[in-house]
Amino acid sequence: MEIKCPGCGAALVFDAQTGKMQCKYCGSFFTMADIEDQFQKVEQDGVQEPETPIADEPNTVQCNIYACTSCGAELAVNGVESSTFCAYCGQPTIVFSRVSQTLKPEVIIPFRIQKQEAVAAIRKRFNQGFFIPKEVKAFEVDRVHGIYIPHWLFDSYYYDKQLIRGTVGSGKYSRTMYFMREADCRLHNVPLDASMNLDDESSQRLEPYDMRDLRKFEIGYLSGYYSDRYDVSNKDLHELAAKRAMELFDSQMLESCSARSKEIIANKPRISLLKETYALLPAWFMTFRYKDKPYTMLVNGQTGKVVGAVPCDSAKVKLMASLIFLLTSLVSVPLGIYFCLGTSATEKSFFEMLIGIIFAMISMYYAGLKKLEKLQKSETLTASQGMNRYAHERQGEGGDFR
Amino acid sequence: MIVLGIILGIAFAACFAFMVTLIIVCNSNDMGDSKGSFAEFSEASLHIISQKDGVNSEQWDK
Repeated sequence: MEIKCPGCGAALVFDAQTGKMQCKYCGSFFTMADIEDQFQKVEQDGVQEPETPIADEPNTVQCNIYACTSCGAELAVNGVESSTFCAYCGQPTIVFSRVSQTLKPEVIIPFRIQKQEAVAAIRKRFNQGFFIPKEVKAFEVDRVHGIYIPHWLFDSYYYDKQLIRGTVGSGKYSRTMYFMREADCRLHNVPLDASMNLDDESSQRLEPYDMRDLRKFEIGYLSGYYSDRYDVSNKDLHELAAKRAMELFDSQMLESCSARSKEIIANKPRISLLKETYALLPAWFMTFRYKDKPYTMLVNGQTGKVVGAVPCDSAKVKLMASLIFLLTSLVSVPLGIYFCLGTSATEKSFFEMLIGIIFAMISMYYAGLKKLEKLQKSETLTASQGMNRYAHERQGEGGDFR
Repeated sequence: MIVLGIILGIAFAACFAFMVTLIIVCNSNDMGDSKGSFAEFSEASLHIISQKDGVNSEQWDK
């Protein structure tokens, strides 16, 4: 159903700046309490029931048909949608019956960042990137969607006793040392996305959300935005929740040991999941095209954090690499000659230093490879068809609807 | 020996350039590469029940 302005009858949308519902037509603002009152009144009048889902046919996707309360058109809604705009009149139509039929979210973090701010944040970040091609910096926005992503928030208790191995000292005095740590902690509101279509890596990179801003779910918050319904149950995420708690806990345990190359070699973990809360967290999905390929950048709808990776300007990368290589060579080649001439090949120290230099080179090469791997992975996520499809489908314009 | 010195110098410069360039490219093009940390999900710091440095495996088993 659509939430209408009590004054003029036009559709209301959630205003991220004021945190109230706004009527774009007459400019009035309404609090969530006002909207709740109005919604209860409309509910008493009777909610329009969705029609029976269409029968399965080859090459078709089963979806429910809803009538737009604003223009009367029939609106097809994807199976994982809980709210959408009317594809015909563009009005923000909230299909509340869809939300109430499944599990209603308990809490929500409302959008704090508006569409223009999200695009501006991406532009600003792109302009800071020296290796980002000019064409990407001057991108034209293809689509921008504000989407509430379904999450399960886990509270857990974690205990572990660990034996950690690390290296202390340097050079000749370097030695292996063992540390024993026994600790516990309580973790609150660790989010895990409950949408099968969105990659976990992408949703986790949107963190952190300020959980102090969590509000009791009100239907009005969805107005003007798209939202997704969970399709991964809390039980399916128990294993992942335990893994995430372990990662967070272990990182702290390792930090408490004064050594390098630290590694947990034995442990006795115990975890209890205490509470699970179904929540909607806000994000902007912005799609642009570069060389006919779609890229989807994400922006945290609460903090404005920009997430994603874009292709490099290869000419600039080559130039930078050559410059660094030449400048380093100016120092390293004379040093190499001096080292080889100044030390006798038979000396023990010569071989020790040679091995040291080769080890340093391998380490640098490996560090570079790891960075390259990370960059490629991020770029793959940003350019993934899945991500583009996720944002696209939630606008009600995807292939599933036609 | 001079040739070995030149080769060492060039190889070192190449590895260094490879690593530094990729670090700079990552900082430039890879955005938002961080996840929520322990401090964001825990009101208090880690509660250490016991700790010992320089232990051996026998002490661990106990």
